[in-house]
Amino acid sequence: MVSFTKRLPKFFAIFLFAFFGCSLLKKRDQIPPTVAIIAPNDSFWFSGQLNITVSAYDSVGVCSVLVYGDNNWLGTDTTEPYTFIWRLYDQAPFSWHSIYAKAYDKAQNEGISQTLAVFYIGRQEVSLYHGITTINPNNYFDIKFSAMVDDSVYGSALVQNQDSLAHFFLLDNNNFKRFKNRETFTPILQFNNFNQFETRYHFADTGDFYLIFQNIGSVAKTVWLRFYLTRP
Amino acid sequence: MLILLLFNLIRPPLLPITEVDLMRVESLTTINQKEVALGLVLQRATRSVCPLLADKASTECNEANKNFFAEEKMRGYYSDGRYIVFGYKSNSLAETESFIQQHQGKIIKRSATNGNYLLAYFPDLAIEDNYQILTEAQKLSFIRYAEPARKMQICLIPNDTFFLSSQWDKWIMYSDLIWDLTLGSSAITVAICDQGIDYRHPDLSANFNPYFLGYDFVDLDPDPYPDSTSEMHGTHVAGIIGAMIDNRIGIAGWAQVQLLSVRVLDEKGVGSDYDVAEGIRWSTDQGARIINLSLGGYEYSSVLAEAVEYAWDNGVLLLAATGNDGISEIYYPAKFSQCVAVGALDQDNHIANFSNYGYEQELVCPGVYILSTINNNQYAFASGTSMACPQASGVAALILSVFPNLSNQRLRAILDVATIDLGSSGKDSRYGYGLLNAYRAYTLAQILATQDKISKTVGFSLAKRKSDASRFELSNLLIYDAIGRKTDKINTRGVYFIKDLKTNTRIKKIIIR
Repeated sequence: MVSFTKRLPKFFAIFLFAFFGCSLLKKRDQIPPTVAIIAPNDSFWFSGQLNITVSAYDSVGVCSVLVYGDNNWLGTDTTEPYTFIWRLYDQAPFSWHSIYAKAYDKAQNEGISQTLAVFYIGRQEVSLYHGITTINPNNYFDIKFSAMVDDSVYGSALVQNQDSLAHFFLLDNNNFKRFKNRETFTPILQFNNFNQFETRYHFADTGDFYLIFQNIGSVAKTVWLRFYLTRP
Repeated sequence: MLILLLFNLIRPPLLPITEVDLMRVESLTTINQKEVALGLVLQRATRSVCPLLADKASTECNEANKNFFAEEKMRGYYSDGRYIVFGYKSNSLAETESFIQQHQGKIIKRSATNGNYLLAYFPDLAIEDNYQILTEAQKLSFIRYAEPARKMQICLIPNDTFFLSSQWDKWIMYSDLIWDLTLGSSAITVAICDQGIDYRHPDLSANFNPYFLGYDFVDLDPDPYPDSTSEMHGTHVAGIIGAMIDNRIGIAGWAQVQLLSVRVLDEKGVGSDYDVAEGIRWSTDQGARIINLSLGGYEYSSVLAEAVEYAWDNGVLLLAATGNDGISEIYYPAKFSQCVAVGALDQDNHIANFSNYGYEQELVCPGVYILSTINNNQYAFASGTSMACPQASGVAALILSVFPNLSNQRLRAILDVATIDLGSSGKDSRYGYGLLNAYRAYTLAQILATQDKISKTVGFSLAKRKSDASRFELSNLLIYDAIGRKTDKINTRGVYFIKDLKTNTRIKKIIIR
């Protein structure tokens, strides 16, 4: 067993290096790290969030990597792979933006990457359902999804062969339970006896929601559905 | 190398549909009778019913209106947010007009039908200021509602016999929205490297040039007609891309463009990489802008690689099927970086169980139970990535029809971004970028075309909204907003352009105070 007293000088050396290492190296190392954004490419188009990956190298060692979007600091990463996410919440769709990265070595030398231009298309569209479904008599088809504040749902339904369907509801979790238990419920959106409709809804709350297509007729109905969420 | 035919008959085998139910046709043509009678229907955005819209206490509706402004304006719609419809309580016309005038608004129309509403225009206000007006108006006791004027336009619902009964695939890719804008152009040529195509099919013949039908690289003759009645794959693929639309028979294809039948597979659906390479090079030389490759094999082929590179370098967009074995290995030529690899989506919002996938997967389109043309004036359902690939080719052809100057590189970027995400967030190996949204692709192309028109100018963006409506004055410089309209102020976030700069002018910095 190694005694604590024998190990103490080693601990002390590590402690000294951790505290003063960077400033000692600063005097010797004058070469800045090389840094490059490896993803995305220049002129990259994206919707929703932008995933950024940076590569940085220094002969002494990279201390930290910082990324800037439109000259605003987005984040710092100290371990490889240096990855960042930029969410352009309130930016105008179809807008160009700039990104670049900085890397610092242990001697506090600064390396700066090239500035890239990226093209923000707009919000990300996430499919809730794109397809068709057949709903048997006195039955319903539901699509469950989670929405966050500032998400929007967009969608259309079309009953095949120019037929009509009894009900469509957008329900929150509580009202879905009430719907299932055949109790009185309050839909967020509702369409009755439709052949087709198109709708959208902007969520002010986070939670689970349900799209319900109800057939109260005596024959099966086939419905075409295209519903998606947009999110920043 | 054998080129395997991607023709997966998972659903009931080819069932010819020969009977045309006239009663059904009649009922289809009466869709939205009231709307047709009016000659106008609400555009989809208009029909985006927010039942709470009239409820002035509704936060959701305020948000919906705000979004409406941001999105619709950037897309260059007529209703750009400066036109607002005010509904007022009876006997409150004077108060409403007074409110509008206080905000420098002009009354465009008063109801001629005794409806208590009017249309006002706010020429000097930016979108977000109009949003403030809406919010302010909704607080007034004599205002029933205030909402942005919505765009209305004609809406094409194809009268093709089977459209509303069977062509779910087109509908979930938002075909109805893009068909309101374009049906295609015969100036765009799409080459279909496949089996022979029945170019005499009544739902296809109009989109073939009778003097230039294509070429048969299997038999080396200029007549690419199928050798036997069982040779149906090429005709099925062709129908998905370019069946005649709105001709009261059969199905609606994606785009009314010129089709080229390039026969590189024989009647058994088999061919060689050599013939496929020949077909690709020949199509390129004939001026095809898009080559559809609903075929492939697992082995790398140099001759095919060179042909694909040749086509891409000459501005052709190549779209290829990923294969039908349901494994994580994508066929060549889809695997080549120059090709857009298209997988199949089923009817339940999932990748089809037969659809190959992998790193190169780029898009998915409906590929299960797809109705299209087959030989001898018939129609049939079929499944496969062969059926998914031409969906993307058709959309690409539609976009090129309106924006023919788009490069293949840029068109591909448009297709990739104009997707609805499926599976893991962002690009993944099963769904690629996701399901292609034809309407969104068109919108993107339109925005880029607008930008291209003013590409010789200097562009800059304002990241944050300026609180004051500061006038922007630069001597001898014209400022344009993102959709190309001249403006003399910059106070909302977005993209702006300075136009008509003198040669060699360099702008070092733009300061907006």
